[in-house]
Amino acid sequence: MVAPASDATTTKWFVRRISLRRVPPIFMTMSVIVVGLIVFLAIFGSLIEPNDPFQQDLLDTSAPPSPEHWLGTDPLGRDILSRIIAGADSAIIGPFIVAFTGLLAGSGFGILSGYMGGTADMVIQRLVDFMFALPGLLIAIVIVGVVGGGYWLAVLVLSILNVAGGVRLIRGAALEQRALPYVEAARTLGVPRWRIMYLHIWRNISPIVFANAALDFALALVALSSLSYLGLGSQPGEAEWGRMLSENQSLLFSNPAGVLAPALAIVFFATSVTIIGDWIYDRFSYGGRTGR
Amino acid sequence: MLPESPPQEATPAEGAAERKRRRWLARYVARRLLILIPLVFLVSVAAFTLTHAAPGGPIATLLENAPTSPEQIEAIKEKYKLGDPLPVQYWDWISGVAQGDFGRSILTNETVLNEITSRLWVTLSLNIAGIALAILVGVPLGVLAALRRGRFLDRALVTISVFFMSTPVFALGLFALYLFGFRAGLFPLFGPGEGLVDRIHHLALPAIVLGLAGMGFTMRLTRAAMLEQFDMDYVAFARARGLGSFHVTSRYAFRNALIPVTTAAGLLFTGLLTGSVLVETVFGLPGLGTLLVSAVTGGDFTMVQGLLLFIAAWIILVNIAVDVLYVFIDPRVEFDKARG
Repeated sequence: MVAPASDATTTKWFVRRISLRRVPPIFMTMSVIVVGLIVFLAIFGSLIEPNDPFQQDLLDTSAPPSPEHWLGTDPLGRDILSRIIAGADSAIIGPFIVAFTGLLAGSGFGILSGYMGGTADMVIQRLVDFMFALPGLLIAIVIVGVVGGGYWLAVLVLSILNVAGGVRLIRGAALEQRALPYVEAARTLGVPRWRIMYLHIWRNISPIVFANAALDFALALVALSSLSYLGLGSQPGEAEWGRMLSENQSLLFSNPAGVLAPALAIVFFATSVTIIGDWIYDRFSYGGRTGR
Repeated sequence: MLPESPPQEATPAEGAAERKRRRWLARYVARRLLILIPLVFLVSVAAFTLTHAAPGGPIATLLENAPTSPEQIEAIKEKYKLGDPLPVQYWDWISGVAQGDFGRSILTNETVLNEITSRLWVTLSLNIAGIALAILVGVPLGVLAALRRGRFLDRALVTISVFFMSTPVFALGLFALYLFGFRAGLFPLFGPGEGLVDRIHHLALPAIVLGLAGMGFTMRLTRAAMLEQFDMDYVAFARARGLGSFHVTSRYAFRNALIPVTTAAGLLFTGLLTGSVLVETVFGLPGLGTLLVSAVTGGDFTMVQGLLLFIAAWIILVNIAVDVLYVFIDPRVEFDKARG
């Protein structure tokens, strides 16, 4: 692939892409509430589930909403609301692992590549170019499907495929920092290279790193639920929002709330995390001066 | 939609430069097309390795619904030549592919090539319509948002694009299916339809869903690229010279903003191809996406291999086309810079 834009432009382009700029405060508040609620459900969900999310009731399948089952039951008679609550932890853990891997590997290789330059930079960049050109979700569909599926395999594949974007972004940011006076000053004072890279530079670009991790989290949530929707990510029986959508799709016209509620859970969670990531970037990057 | 470069009076020197540039472009395209061969080779090795390294391998798939006896296993191994060493099997397969023989699907016993070509129109029309929608709606809206930077319209458009970008395309499909297919009764609920008009009617909603998902991306990208250009000195200078806002936007900023947008077009194309796997599943359409999912879950290894080669060639060709388009949009692309 030709990499036509200069690195500085690429960085700006990416940063703009992930940056909303001036999120209306009400959205920010709502996003924090949504994320807080889902984290709460993931931790304490088993205490407040109205019914057992895994208990099948073949005499009460595909039931419409009722006082007993607020969102009705799925085609195997399981309580949909309880399953949404039970699905909160797989909506957090997998995306978190993907985002965290991206954060570590992205910071590690990105700063190394941007600051050191030379052969290391060249090797890392060729690898990144290659991985960046791969259609991530499509590859995940094929690998997870052929090897035989499973939530953790999906998380692993997505973690690896996700690294390239972070490396490219953080390398660009580190490249911009390298030219700044504080780095030169630190070098003159004889600060070791690894300290300059991972303490000085990292701290200055950390808003970009965290904003990118938030975006990765949202994308991983969408990708994992897409795999589950196709029947590839989580296994049958597991409570996972994407899988619930495909299992309950036949209810779309009789009990739409039962199908659209897990879909809304994914949408709200992904949107909220994206908005929070944008807010982090706007608030903290370059001392908050770039906000427009 | 792309601005043509204005016709130029060719002085002899410019004519020579133009010829040189054209020759370079032809060589450039040829070189990129040549790269297709090693890339597809790599993909073929990867696809072959993956399908044969899967737990149980092809034999497990072939025996799925059959009672097993050692003789049958031998017979199957014989039929599909699974007893041969892997490099020999690979050679058999790839030399067949080179002659247009992708083998037969294990699930349907139809030739892989027939299965692909008979379903291609669904995926192709979804993608073309989706990309057209994403570009024709997303790019103008992005420009509009950039022009109204920070005002209500900008925030509303950005919010819409965030919604479409963070909504999984299958969830979007289900919402659309419920609202416009079921509640409003505007579109059919399932399947590809019969006859031209009916088919367009069946594919309209899936194509719109796919297009909206892509639109969020193009809109945000265009907005960001336009804002970047608006900050440039040349725009301030053009304004200071008294050029009209429309002129500055369309002739100056927009043409430069197209460069990063084109760069990202490759991402848009692969994104929509992936999205169509999900959209086809939601709407029950017999396209390449649903074919891939059923082949992958059913362990149909010849089909998976054939599809992977086909999809890889698709993506690589689209990316080459984007790179060539890039040369036209940005005449500054230097001969040696684009060589990489």
